Amino acid sequence: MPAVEVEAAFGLDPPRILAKASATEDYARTLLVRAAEAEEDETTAANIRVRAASALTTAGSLWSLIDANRATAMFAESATINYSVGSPYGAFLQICARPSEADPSTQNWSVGAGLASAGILASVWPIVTRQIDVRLDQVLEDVPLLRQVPAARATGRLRIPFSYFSNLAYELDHLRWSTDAPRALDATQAFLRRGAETIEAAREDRFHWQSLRSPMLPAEPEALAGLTLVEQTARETWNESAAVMLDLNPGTLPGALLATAQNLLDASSEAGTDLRG
Amino acid sequence: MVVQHFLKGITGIPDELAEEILRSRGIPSRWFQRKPIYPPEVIAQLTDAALLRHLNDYVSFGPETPFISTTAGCTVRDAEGRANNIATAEYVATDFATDGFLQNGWVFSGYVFTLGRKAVAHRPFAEEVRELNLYTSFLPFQPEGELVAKIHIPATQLEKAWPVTARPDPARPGAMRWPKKGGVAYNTDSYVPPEDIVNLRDVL
Repeated sequence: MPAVEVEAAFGLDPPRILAKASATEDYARTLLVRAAEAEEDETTAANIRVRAASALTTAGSLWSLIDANRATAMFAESATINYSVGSPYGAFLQICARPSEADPSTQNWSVGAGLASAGILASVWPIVTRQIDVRLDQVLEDVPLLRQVPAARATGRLRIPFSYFSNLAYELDHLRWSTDAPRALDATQAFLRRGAETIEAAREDRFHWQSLRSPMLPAEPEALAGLTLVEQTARETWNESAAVMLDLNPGTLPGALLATAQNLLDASSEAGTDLRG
Repeated sequence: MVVQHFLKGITGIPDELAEEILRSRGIPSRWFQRKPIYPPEVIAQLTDAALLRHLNDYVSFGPETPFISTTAGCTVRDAEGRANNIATAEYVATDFATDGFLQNGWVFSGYVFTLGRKAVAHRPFAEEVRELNLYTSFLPFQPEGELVAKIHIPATQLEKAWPVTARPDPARPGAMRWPKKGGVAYNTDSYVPPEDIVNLRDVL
């Protein structure tokens, strides 16, 4: 796995990330124990589980920079809780947890629950993992809602517009079926730039960023979900890393984000993660 | 008026000082810590501009701020993601108390009075900057769930406090467990329970 250049690219201190990731994971475990103890009061237990999911997502993002195996486990657990309470954000987490093995139900679920950006990624997911042999347009014939989403509708803390997710999905679909030489990956580069821009802006507030108290996670799941699928496609199609194809410097934020996604893909390939239990 | 419970984490203070804060000293703003203050100065300090600097420019304004950050936790709505992310007061206060889970500190639990509207110039009332329907301008750190007290939180409003101890994970070098919560110290000296002062009248 490539080392993520946490200091150079993210401007963060690895020991501080390790401390916060591990303590936050432990806090999530504490909350899950409290939820189990409150099981007789289902409303209370559900509320505590939602708090645990937030902690697991934060821990997963932080772990993704330094230990992808732990990150995929956190994302998987958080995805399960998000599903259980009807939050479609779980679809992003599920892709981060297991990018190399698509769950066919994720597409219907995320679209039905109204999260178009996750829905379009979930639609292209089984195509790039080669679990289905159809084009994206065919897949989307059954989900007309995805064709009506405003291009500018923004998602998540990174506020990436839907069109970036859509362009990325179509680019991955094209690459999956392409027999041409690798091309510039324009949509991938635009997606990376858009994700990195918001993080760069958050970094300007050094006090909160360096103490890991920024409202922005260093590696937001919606960005990682898209980038793990990019990496999956590049490897399946050209047996090459997307970072090499894009000639990205790992010391830059886009390079480090892609390296983080690479590691999640490697981790999930090594150990399959059963999300739905 | 609402009586709002809060938590506040303070890092690196000795146990004796924590006990003194809890029982008699209260939690002063950093401005009040530095010097005695006089009423006319308070009026000049409690302004919207100063509050915004406290919230958004703490590195430079922190040493002289008349405000005191506390947390009651926060729900952050991701409308498109149809998800609510929740930062609990326990998590935020413990994070601050331990400087990112790396040091020891104390968490104080008490209450402040809020009005359900902005009242920056009114010293007795805390500002609910976490409340989007009151603070409608975008505040990047709204997820910290901040309630901003002013000048000084008296010990009469501090119910209890507990030490939190950073816990290295013996199985993983550099990793930390959730900090150990020590025995809770109750302010039996000066705490006034809110039930004693809210506008609930008993029969004669």
